[in-house]
Amino acid sequence: MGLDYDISTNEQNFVLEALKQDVRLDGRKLNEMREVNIKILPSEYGHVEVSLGRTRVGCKVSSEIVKPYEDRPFEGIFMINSEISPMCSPFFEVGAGGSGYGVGSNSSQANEEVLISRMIEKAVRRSNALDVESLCIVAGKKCWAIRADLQFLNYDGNFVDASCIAVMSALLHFRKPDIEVAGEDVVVYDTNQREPVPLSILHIPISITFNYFNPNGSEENIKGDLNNELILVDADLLEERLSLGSMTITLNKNQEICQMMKSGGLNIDASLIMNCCSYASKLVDELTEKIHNVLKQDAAVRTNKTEEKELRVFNER
Amino acid sequence: MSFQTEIGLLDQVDGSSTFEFATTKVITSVAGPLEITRMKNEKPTEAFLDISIKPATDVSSTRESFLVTKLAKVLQKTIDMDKYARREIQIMVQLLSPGESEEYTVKELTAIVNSVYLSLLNGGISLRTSFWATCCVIDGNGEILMRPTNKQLRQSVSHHIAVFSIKDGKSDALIFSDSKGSFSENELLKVLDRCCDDIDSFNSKVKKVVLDRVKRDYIWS
Repeated sequence: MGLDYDISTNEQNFVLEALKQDVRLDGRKLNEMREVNIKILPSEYGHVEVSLGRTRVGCKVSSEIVKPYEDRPFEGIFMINSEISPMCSPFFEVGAGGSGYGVGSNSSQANEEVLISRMIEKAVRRSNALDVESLCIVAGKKCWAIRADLQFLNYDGNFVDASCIAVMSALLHFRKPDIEVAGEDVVVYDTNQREPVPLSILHIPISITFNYFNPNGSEENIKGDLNNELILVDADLLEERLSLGSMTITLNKNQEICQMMKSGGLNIDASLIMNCCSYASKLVDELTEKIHNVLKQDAAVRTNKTEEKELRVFNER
Repeated sequence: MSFQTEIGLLDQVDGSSTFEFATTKVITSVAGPLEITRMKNEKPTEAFLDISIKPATDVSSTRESFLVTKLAKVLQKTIDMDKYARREIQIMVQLLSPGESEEYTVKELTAIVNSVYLSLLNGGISLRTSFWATCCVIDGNGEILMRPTNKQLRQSVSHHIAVFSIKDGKSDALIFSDSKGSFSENELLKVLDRCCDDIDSFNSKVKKVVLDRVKRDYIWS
């Protein structure tokens, strides 16, 4: 609806004053992330819901067989749909950031949405997290198109981090139907006939967002060299609105940087950025571990013990 | 077979709820009454309903617009439109799991109508009447099956959805009905009767979930 959040001066000062004293409104430390909760919906493959505090994002992965792009005959297609609906917050408009009629009409909200979409796109798709070459079935004729639809449900800051976790865990969990190729004919097996196969995921990029605050007024911001900016991890909505700059860095657990974006007008010393990076890498390790644990638990629930016993090649003696 | 619902789970909008029955699941939100965003939508005497439905996969298509027109038909009769003149009520629907093949829309529409009803109550939007939806199929033997599974739907001869208003805890007047397939007039009347009974059977549970939510929303000293 293009409603803006009006944060009163009192509230602004209160939040900033509290931050200077190392206190956040929800009781976290400055460098503490909110509780990440990954829920895999039991009815199908590749449908997860991630909540980061009160921010909630769903992701559903689906697949179909299509003709590959003309100029890329050996590659499958991978798409991420990250259209933000006003459901998560009246702050976003219908179709504002996409190709709809809202483009250009509205300013900052539309930009915000484009920014979020682009960041997810860069973090997951451009970093080659999903091996698109493995999606090729018959070169130039048939390939898998994998589609990840993000459902933004509730907005309380930091959509990028939450959606990155959602997309990656959904991709890791997804199984596509098994196929058999004979010449140009492709046989697709039903999931009951043959066990569906997982996608080939090369690495798991995870985004971590830092928000920066300047405690010393605007003059210090421009020419000062005190380097005592406040650095927050995983800001909520209010903090995100009030911050002077942010940096999103996407890493995987091999400590490879997949994407990095710093925005906002606050100058940050290079050494502080390095600190952020090494701290992010620690968080990424924890989150990767968490995703794997959730997937393992889900796999244990899904396996049919008796069926597995029957399918075994050898019997217990 | 019953339904699951969670009311008031989103905090940026005025009202929200999820609704799940027979593997169909939706989440809806209601925000309003708001200022009109586009001047051309303004209606001098009544509210403007901004409804959008997003599918579980892919972007919205004609299928979703089709659902929007049907939902609008129900809501225009049930929301107290005159009360919100020159205002906008924004209704968002996100399908989470369709629970039926693409060529059908009955189960989704049923879940959407019920979920929007709960969201409207949660959002404090004035309604002319309570309402509830249910769906059924008629199978090859002429038998009526309420709230079918996807398999029953695919094997059916016709399928139907009915929305009834609720008065004094009983289903009262027919607000909306939609059928597809081949069926006789008698069969349709029988279907509507069965839907009526089915809605009555839900009533106590609907009342309970709404009451629970209201208890949580306000302080009752």
